[in-house]
Amino acid sequence: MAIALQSLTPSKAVSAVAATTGGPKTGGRWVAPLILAQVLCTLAIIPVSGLPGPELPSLTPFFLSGILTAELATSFLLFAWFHDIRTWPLLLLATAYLYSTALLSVYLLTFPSAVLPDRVFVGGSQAAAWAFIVWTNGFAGLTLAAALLEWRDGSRRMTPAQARIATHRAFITVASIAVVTLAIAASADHLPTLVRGGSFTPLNLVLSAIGLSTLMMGIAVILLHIRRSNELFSWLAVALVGMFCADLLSALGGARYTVGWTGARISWVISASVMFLFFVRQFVRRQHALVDTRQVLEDAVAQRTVDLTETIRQRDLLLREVYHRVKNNLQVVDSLIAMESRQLQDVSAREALAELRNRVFALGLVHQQLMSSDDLATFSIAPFLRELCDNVAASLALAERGVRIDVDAAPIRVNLDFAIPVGLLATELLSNTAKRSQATEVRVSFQRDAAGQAVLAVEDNGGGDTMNGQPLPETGSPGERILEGLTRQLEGRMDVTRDNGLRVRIHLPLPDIGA
Amino acid sequence: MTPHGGILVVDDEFLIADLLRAMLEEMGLDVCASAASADEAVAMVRRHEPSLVLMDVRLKGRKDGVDAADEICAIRPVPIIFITGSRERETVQRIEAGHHGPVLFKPVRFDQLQREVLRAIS
Repeated sequence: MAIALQSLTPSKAVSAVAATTGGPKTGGRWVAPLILAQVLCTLAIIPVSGLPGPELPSLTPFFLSGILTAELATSFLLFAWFHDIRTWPLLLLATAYLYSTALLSVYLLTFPSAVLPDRVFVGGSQAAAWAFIVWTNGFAGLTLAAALLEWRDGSRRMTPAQARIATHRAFITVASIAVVTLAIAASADHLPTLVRGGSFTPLNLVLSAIGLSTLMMGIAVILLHIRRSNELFSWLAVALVGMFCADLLSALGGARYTVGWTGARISWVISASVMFLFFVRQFVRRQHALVDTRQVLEDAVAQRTVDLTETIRQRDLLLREVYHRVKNNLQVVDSLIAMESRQLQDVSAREALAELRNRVFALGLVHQQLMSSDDLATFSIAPFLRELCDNVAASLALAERGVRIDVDAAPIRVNLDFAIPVGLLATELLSNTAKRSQATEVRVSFQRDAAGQAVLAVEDNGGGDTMNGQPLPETGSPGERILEGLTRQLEGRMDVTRDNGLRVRIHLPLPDIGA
Repeated sequence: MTPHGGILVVDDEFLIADLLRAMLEEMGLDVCASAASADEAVAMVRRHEPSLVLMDVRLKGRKDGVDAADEICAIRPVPIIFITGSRERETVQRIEAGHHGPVLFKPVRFDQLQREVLRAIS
């Protein structure tokens, strides 16, 4: 799974696309059959190419519009691709299709009856023929240059800044050529004649032969040197063969509206559509790849979620086990203290150990609460305090001595660091208070005050400042040090009031437990 | 026996700080102050100029004992004994990277503490 994910990282995907101007090479198997089909169709038409065909001038704008649309879209897609890959062959190819689009527009404007009925829109009778020669020969030259560059050094890239400048220059150059061609076409009757009485002159055929040769060279370079390594140029070969067949049929037709001339228009449409179809095919292929990638990622995320859930479950199990063992070890400590205590004869020593056992119980009770907590980090202090007080009361036999303990605790959630000192504080206060012989009622409460702080209060009705008939412990006794020290540790404040009973209130900032 | 300036105990757990204080007093040494956070420890060093610092690693607040030790050493050279409950390699490496003092692991025995303290102040 890790390997699958790694192979689908965005940087890898970009690199894979950027590594070649042709992308994946699985579409190369269509190239040879398509070329063969075009050649066979052309060979079939050649014997009848000189025969007169239907004279339908209105078909010219129809054909040219189709070619223009396909080549404009192809040019846009090639420039978009060039924006990512930034190689010189791709820039030349995109420029070639932009050039073709611009010169086709000139051809459309100069062709008789294409825009206006029975006459040309711009120029004279030779304008369309010269626009056609400039278009086909220029396109053939640009595609040959692109093929040669791809063959010699197709992987060299421009910087983004160079690519931006080169794109601007390509647009300016093409626009300039189109304008100049239109201007020349407008006065083309001063140029040598290319069409006379509907037939092509020898000069026209020579210029067409130059264009055909250039196209042939481009096709040869691609098929002999590039086809196996670059799918884009393989499909370009199909397009160039289509154009070659079209130019050949047009030349062999010898005149407008012959079978060859009409067949050439159809072949041009096919030629122009090939590259566009290549991009449609690329789009569909990438859509499928995206769907596959998404599925792989979703599977990976699902598996990762399962792994994380299992990790969290195991962590929780481990933490519960740790809390459980800490609690058990504290019970062992408690048992050892109890064992030692039973050996002692001295009452004060046994009482001291009983107090120690209460403190150890408080620590164990915190871990017991955490063990059964949902999040293993916090728990409600209410049941904790109740059980703590019950234990202290039982250890000191308060019920037998007629002392009633009332616990009133709000269900405030606390964490380990807060609960341990609070448990020890409550144990200490309750032990001290309960030991006072005069007290018959002890009230333990834990509430939130108006300021948002917790208040731990232990109050009794024990009367004066005595304990077991003796004065209360002096300042600095261990019990008092524990109370003061733990209160300070929790950054709290302790108020003690002695008035017909002892009332101790400890104000404590509640911990931030992210609840 | 008591070094000039006394000993500063830094630990966020009151009961542990109190135990360390009791052990030091049993050795006949003076504890000049105790602190629960790194900032408090630095303030106590400025105020009392102790001869030795016992430093817990986990302290109250954002900074830990290693941070506090770094700040203290920048103020004045004072021997520091680290006392930590964590045996994580990362923690020990952080201590050893910046300080030469010994590292003791909780629970600390009396004889261990006495040996290191006497070595530090002698």
